[in-house]
Amino acid sequence: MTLRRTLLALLVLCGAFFPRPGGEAAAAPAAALAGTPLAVSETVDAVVAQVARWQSRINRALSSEVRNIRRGEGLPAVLALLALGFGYGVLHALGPGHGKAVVAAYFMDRSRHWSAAIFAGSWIALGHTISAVLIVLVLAFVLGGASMEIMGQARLVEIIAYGLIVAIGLWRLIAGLRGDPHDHDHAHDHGHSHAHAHAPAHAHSHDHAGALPAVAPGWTGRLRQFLKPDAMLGMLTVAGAVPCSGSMILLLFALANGVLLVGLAATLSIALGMALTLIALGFAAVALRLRFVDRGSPAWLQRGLTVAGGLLVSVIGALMLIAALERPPI
Amino acid sequence: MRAAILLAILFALLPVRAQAHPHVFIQYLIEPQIKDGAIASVVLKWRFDDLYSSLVLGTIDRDGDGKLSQPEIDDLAARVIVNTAESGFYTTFKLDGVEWRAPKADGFTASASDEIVTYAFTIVLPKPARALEASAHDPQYYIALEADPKQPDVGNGAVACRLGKPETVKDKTWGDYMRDVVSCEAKAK
Repeated sequence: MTLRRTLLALLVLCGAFFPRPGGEAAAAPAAALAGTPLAVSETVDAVVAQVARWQSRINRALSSEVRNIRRGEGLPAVLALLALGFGYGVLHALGPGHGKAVVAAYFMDRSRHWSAAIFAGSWIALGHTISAVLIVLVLAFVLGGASMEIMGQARLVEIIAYGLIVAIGLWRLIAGLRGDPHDHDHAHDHGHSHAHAHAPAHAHSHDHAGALPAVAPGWTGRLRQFLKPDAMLGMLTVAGAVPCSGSMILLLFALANGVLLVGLAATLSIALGMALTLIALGFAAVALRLRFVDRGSPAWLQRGLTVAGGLLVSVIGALMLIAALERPPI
Repeated sequence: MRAAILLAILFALLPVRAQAHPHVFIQYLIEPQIKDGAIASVVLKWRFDDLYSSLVLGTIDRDGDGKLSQPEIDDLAARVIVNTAESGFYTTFKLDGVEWRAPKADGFTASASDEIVTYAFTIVLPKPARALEASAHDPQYYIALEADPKQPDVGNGAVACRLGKPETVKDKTWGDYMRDVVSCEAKAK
């Protein structure tokens, strides 16, 4: 029973992630090459429509599992809900407003270690979820479960956060243009020997471990380096502060069904899924940098990337800001 | 070689829509109302998904009986009718081939059954039309609007609606999109 339910959930997810041959990843650069980046081909349209159908299906599956739990179906339904939540998170982070642009800009801004991808992705995903949970719990207590109002208040937080993201993006853009991107470029040394092997204790470095340069300062050191307060950490934090609407809606639904704890667990599951997507994007960015930029590349390229990153974040941030401003309660 | 970086940047710059992820799902239905052999008005019905329905009920259904009473519907109308009209109900109409967006609703009601909420907007056409097309879409894709494949049979055979082929719409700001088209035709007597 448990097994069947979990398998079914996994099946739904597989369909969601592999909608059709030559999915989004394949079609997207083609569309970008085709001319203006804002024009999309019919293939992308079809993929978008397909992804939307799968999201709608996951949405339905999520709500029916919550109802099953309410009816006392117990563990099988909870496991299915967690699996669905994870997949929802992975898919959800692909959407706008979940920090993809910010992660990209973070790694365009300067050269960073692989571990920064894990920290940055988790930072945004967790912040995104914690923000949603806090808003729902606090406002549900204050407003007494008036869900539509809670979503309306969350929109205010979104608007402020997007405004800040635009500001930080513009700041980086100007810094890049004026040619003072950073105090120093790279604290870490890529030429470091692999002599003292990879710290074996890190399960989540799995097959990337081979590609990791020896972790000289150790993970605590890396984390401390990541947590050094600067503009880019600020940008990640603000991006994380945007509450995840998907998590909020699911949490409110769980609350309405009297299974808040289950809702919280599902939200955490969504966060893990989103972190996975963002970390993967971070890894890709680090890989691209290592391959094309870091080795003896001219200073103008570094500046250009900082400028491009700032521009990227400002443009996407502005679009998200407009979207949040224009979105009416329905 | 640096083309790869450029590609990565362009990928991130892709239209917001191409990476879209709606939060609200609506199935819409068109019910034309016939007067003197032509379509004089339509009832536009929005059926919400489970999660959003629960959100609406949690706010509006004060007595928690799972149904919407008239005072509750009035409360809902006060919240949504202006906002939805501002967006033209996300719907583009074609009246005898001429595009038209509804500036307001002439009536609003809502119902709930099995924890699913349905809104119904009554929209009077500027002038009666023999053929009507309706296609709905939220360009920012916060809301996914999809036509119900089974459009209701109304008007005692005086009018027939069917779901046509989806059409692609160009949108420079948010990215091109596909939307469902419902076509209705008043039958000549």
